[in-house]
Amino acid sequence: MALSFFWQGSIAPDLSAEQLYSRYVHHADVSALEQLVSLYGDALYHFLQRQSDRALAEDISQQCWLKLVDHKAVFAGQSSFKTWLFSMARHCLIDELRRLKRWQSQQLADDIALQQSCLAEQLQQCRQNQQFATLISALPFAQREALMLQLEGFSLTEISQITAQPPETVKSRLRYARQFMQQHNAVSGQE
Amino acid sequence: MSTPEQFDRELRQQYQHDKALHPLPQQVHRAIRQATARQRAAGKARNWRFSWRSAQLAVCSALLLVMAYLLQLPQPVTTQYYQVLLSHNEQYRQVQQHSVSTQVAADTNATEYQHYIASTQHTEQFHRQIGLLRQQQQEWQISVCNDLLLTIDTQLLAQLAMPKAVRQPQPPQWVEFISNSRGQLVAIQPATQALLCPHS
Repeated sequence: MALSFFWQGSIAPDLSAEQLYSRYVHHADVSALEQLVSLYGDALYHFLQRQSDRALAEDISQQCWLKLVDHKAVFAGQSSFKTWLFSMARHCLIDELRRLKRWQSQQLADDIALQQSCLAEQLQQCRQNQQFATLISALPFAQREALMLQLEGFSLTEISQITAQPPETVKSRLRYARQFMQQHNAVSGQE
Repeated sequence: MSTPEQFDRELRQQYQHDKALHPLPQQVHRAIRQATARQRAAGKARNWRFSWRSAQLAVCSALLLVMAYLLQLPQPVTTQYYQVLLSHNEQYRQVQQHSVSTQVAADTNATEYQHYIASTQHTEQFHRQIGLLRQQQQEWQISVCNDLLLTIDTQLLAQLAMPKAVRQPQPPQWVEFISNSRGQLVAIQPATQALLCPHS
């Protein structure tokens, strides 16, 4: 413990995200923050990009990390750091979508049944392009985010925390999303 | 048609592949680095202010400790010595100048007086004489007719056992002064009667 004072410059590679955050907040250890960015920066940006577009994802990512840098967003330890980070980013994204009046259309897209005709065209394109991205983009917002978060490694409970939805709802969204993906054989189509 | 496990594995692979194609843009990395640099600079300024305050506090504390230590140290004992200079002049057969100084050894008068009070045979150890006490500028004098003149410096007077009434500057008064066997004054008391001098 006492020796760690002399090693403030270097960070042990096995520190958890929560420990890194603590080092940044309590010891102003910038390298700990840089390590957090390298751990989750890409995943967060990818999630945001799939849920919106490149420009918005870039903007929201930057906002989130800067909130962390300036201590405007404080991780209270009620969940894992990653869960908290994605949750904060999702809130920022939805706020931004609302501001841009794009949220309503995203919400309506939650009902997959309404989209079937649209999807058929998109799927056609997907089959042709054989692109995972195209297929996942065809999913409704809520199902897409549930699936993206699951693929990112979040548990059902964590997805429930991030999306502020009951676990049953999340489970059902995941089921629909996976059925959709499997049904259209997006992945196997890549083989 | 793939199995669910196979499908899940392939889905995850595709996801990871897609994620790898979309890393966090460099301009966001740059913005974060700039913000952290600003934070670091602000932090350093804060630390410097904190260090400066801490240093001031440490110096003040150290000074207080040193002062407290010095105050706790026993004060150097300055030994005072009782000094009696003998002479004579035309008026008095003997003149004794009683004073205290740091040069000559002296007993503490208070202790001597305590001895006097406690002693039942004090007449052997102490001499009681009656004389006229008067204040002369910076010294006090006790004259015993024309036989003896004692001059007492104020420093010695402060150490002698004597009532407050005697100590107050006032017109000459008759006092009884007590000396020990070495001729040192130990106490002065108001006399109950005046001394009758043969020549006065």
